[in-house]
Order: sequence, then C-alpha cells, then structure tokens
Amino acid sequence: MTTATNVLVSKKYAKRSNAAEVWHRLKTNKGAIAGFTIICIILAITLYSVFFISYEEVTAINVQNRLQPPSWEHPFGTDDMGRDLFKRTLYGSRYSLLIGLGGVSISLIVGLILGSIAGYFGGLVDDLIMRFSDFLASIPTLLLGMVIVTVLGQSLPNLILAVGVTAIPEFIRITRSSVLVVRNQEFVEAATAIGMSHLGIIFTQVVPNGLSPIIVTVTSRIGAAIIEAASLSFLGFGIPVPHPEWGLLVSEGRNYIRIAPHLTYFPGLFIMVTVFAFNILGDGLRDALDPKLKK
Amino acid sequence: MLRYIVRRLLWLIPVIILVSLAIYILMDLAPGTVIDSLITEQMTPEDIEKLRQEYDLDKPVIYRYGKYMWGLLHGDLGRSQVTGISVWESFMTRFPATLKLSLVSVVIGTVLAIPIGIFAARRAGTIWDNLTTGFTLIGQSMPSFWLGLLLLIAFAYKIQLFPAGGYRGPSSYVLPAVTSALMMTALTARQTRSSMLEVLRADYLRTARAKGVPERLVIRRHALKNAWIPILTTIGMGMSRFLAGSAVIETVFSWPGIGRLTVEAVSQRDVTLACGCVILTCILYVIVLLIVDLLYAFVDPRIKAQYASGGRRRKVTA
Repeated sequence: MTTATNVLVSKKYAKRSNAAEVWHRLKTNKGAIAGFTIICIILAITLYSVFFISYEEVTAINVQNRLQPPSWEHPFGTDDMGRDLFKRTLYGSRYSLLIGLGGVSISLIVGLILGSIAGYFGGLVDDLIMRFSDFLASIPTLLLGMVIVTVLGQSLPNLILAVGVTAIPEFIRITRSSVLVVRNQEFVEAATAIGMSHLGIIFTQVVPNGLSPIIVTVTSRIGAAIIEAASLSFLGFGIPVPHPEWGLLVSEGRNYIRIAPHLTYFPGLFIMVTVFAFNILGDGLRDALDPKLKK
Repeated sequence: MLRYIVRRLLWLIPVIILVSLAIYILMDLAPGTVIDSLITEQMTPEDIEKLRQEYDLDKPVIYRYGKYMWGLLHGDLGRSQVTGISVWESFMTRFPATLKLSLVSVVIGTVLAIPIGIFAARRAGTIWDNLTTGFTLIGQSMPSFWLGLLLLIAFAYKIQLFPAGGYRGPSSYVLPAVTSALMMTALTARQTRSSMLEVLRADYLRTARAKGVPERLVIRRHALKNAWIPILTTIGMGMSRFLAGSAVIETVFSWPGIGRLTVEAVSQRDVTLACGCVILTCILYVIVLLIVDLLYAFVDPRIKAQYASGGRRRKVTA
C-alpha cells in the first residue's frame, strides 16, 4: 500500500475505534486472510481427527500393507508398519498445534512477567532479569531443548516446555522494550497519582498499551515453535514413537527415502503449510497493528 | 574498541559457569547414566559397583561437578566418558567440518539474498516483489530437515548428481550447503528488502539521483551502505542459527560436525562430552555475535565513533 492510500484510509476511518481500525486493516490484508483461513482448515482437521480417528487406528501394525505408494485407499500411502500415513498425518496435527500454542504460552507468560518487571522497575532488578535473559539466549536453542527433553524424558508436555523455555528471552526483551516506551507516558504518571499499585499499573496501563509488538511476536513465534519441536522430534528428542508427530513421521520416512519417498513428502508439507499460515498471519497482524511499520 | 571486546569476552565467564552448572547438573539428574550401555549380563554386582566407582557415580553430583569445574579452571574439558578421548580433541576433530560448511553456506546465502532483496525492494508492490516475498516466506516456513531431504531425494536419488551424504570432496558440500544457504537466504532477503525500502525513500537518495548519479551507484554506494546494518545482523543471526541448528542438517547429510557430536553425546548420556560441546558451542555463538557487532563499526562510521569516544555501549544482546 502506498503512503497516499494510507492517508486516504486513515482519513476515511478516522472515527473508528482503534480496535475496529486494526480489524479493518487486517480484513483487507490478503496474506492475513489466507493465513487465517489455513489455520481454520487445520483446526477443522484437528477437530475431525480428535472425533473420528482413534489412537489405536493410527498405531495398529499391519505388515501386509507395508510401504504402499499413495492410492485411493491410502491417499498418502502406508509406512513401514503398514499404517495409513494419511490418517497418521491428520492425527498428528494436534501435536503441532498444542506445541505451538502451549510452547508460546509458556514463553509469553514468563516473558511478560519478567519483561514488564524489568522494564517497569529498572535498576538492579532490570539488570538481574536481563542478565538471566542474556544467559538463556546464549545457549543455542536446539541444544537447550535437547537437554531439557533428555532430563525430563520424552513426552508431549516436556517437549512443549522445552520449546517454551527456549523462546523466553525473546519475550522478555520485547516486553521490556515496549514497557520502557509506555512507562514514561503521562497516563502512567496519572495512574501513580491516583494511588494505583505497581502491579495494577503494569497490568492495566502499561502492558495493554505496549501489546502490539507482543501480539506480532506471539503469532510468528508459534510457527518457529512448531518447526523447533519438529526438529527436536526429528533428532529423536521429541515425542516417543509410535505417536504420529509430524517431525517424527519425517524422521521415520527417512529410513525408506529411496524406496518410499512419499513418507517424507506429506508430513513435511503439513509442517510447512501450518508454519506458513502462522507466519503470514503474523505479517498481516504487524501491518494492521502498526501501518507505519509496513515495509 | 579493545575495551569493548574484552568486556564482551569477559561476559563469557559467567555464561560458561552457569551453562556448565545447568547442563552438568541437569544431565546428571537425567534418568539413566553413561555406564548403562557398558553393563553386560555377565557382570557381577561387584563389577558394576567397580564401574560406578570408576565413574564417581557413588559420590554426590556436587563432587563430580566440582571435579569437572576444577578441570575446567585449568582449561581441561575432561575426557569423553564413552570413548575416553579428550573432549577438546573430539570437538576439534569435528569442528572443521561444521566451520567449512557454515562458511560456504553463509557465502552462498548472502550472495543470493542481497540481490534478491534489492530486486524486490526496487520493484516494491509489483508482482515480482510479491513473488519473491512469497518465496522467502515459504522458505522461512520449511523445516530445514525437510528441505534437506527433498533435495536429497531430487539430486542424490532421482538424478544422481551429488552424493547423498558424508564428507568427501567438494561435491559432498553441495546439498548440505545449499540447504542451509536457502534457509539463510529466506531470512536475509526479507531483511535486505525491508531495510532497502526504508533507505530508498530517504531524501538523500533523491538528492543523489538529482545530482545525476547513475542508478547503479545510487543503489550500491548510497542505499546499500545504509541498509547494511540490519542485513549484517541477519547474516550474523543466520550464522549463529546455523551453529545452533547444525545438528539437524548434519544428521540429514551424515556430516561429521559438532552438531551431530553433541546429539550423540546427549543421547549417550556422556555428561562430560555433552557439557563440553555445549560450552564450546556457546563460546562460538558469542564470538560470532561479537564479530557481527564489530563489523557494524566498519560499515557505519557513526558506530565507530561511538566506540572511540567510549560512549555508552549498546546493550549486549545475544
């Protein structure tokens, strides 16, 4: 969008509330709509799999059927144990969504609390929290994830925790910097003047006003969290077999990559599409929340 | 400048202490120990006990960690508990493979990304811009192991152009380097595009054009020079991401680098080797980020002046 149309748009909708305007900009952003649609489809697939595909069905071994190419009966073919890859892939969507949302929730909650404390109080607390964040950030994420999963054991909650912990520094830093921007504004001073508590000011005045960059980070971090979890699973530090997690499916397919490459294609494609959807939604949100940032 | 470098490197000391403490104790608490794989059925309980004593497993964690730290203070990272080879040596025999691969990938990635980014920025809003943006977004959404496997299927199995893995000769570099270069390109091209766009709107570019400077030079001398900082940051990020994620690409292509070494160490519960690998990788990580920071000074005289005047240093961000 050019600057001229931006001006037009903002004049035309000058009377709208902030939220309504953001919503309007989001609606007109093709990428955001596409991303949102794909996410809805994936949610629908997940719901379908929760109600109509049982765990027994996707883990039952049927050796006669092994390594069949895609067909009408098995749209994605079958794996080395004769299990239908289509059903396994659909079933796997729940893991990625849970990991993406759960992991980011963990980093968001911890990051929001520590980041706003650091930004609001400053001084020694700020220094301590930021040093902690720097320390966490200087451990390469995948290594940290591997160690966490090894220590706690391979399971879905532990994978979520591993992915969540590694993104904490990013959220601390983002929250802190947006709190720093808001903290010195007059309405915060006003809130102090009417005797609000520090906590009250942080969560009713400061955080809501510095929310935009945080929302954008959340959306794009979901995609990154899904990829990270899939990578951990691929390396053998994720959910244990025979759970059909997408990264694990690709890793299993890798053993038969010469004779049955379809085992690698489909689960990876699902990871890519899901992450892509969250990424373009994140991009759209960034543009909608802050038109100045549109690049 | 020197003071800044020293300060950044000194920051490594608390990081190493905390990282080693965290990783060592955590790995030690993990279920299973390194001797599990050494125990055979013929062993009597006395033999197992002897083995445990040999690995100090009969003593508390703190004792083992203290012993480890004592070694670390003397620059000794200890020996791998599985192979008995010194950690430093195991790491250094694997390190060149990772270093070479990362340099090749960064070069390919940058050479691809910057022209693509400039191309998209100069045609902002057109179909070409949308296409490249779309491609970079797709690239960012691909798991690197999947992209690697796809390239492997296409160029090593379907058309047998390149070896499927291993570390022999220049042709074995192609697939792993292209995989990580493409991942980097996606990131860097987007950053190049957006920082170029910001600069392209600036008044001094209009001035330059008005003076009659040829467009080629406007882009290269005036625009790109100011767009370098965010681009450099992204390249540095790409490089550090490569280090962090090298385990994945190295696993896909059976590349004997430090990433796979770390994965093997962690899964074998080889606490000393795993801890050493993580510490050394952290050091590399911090050094890469430091180099990127120092490169800023060469690109932007304003930052150089900041160092020289001893002004407030920018926050250390990893």
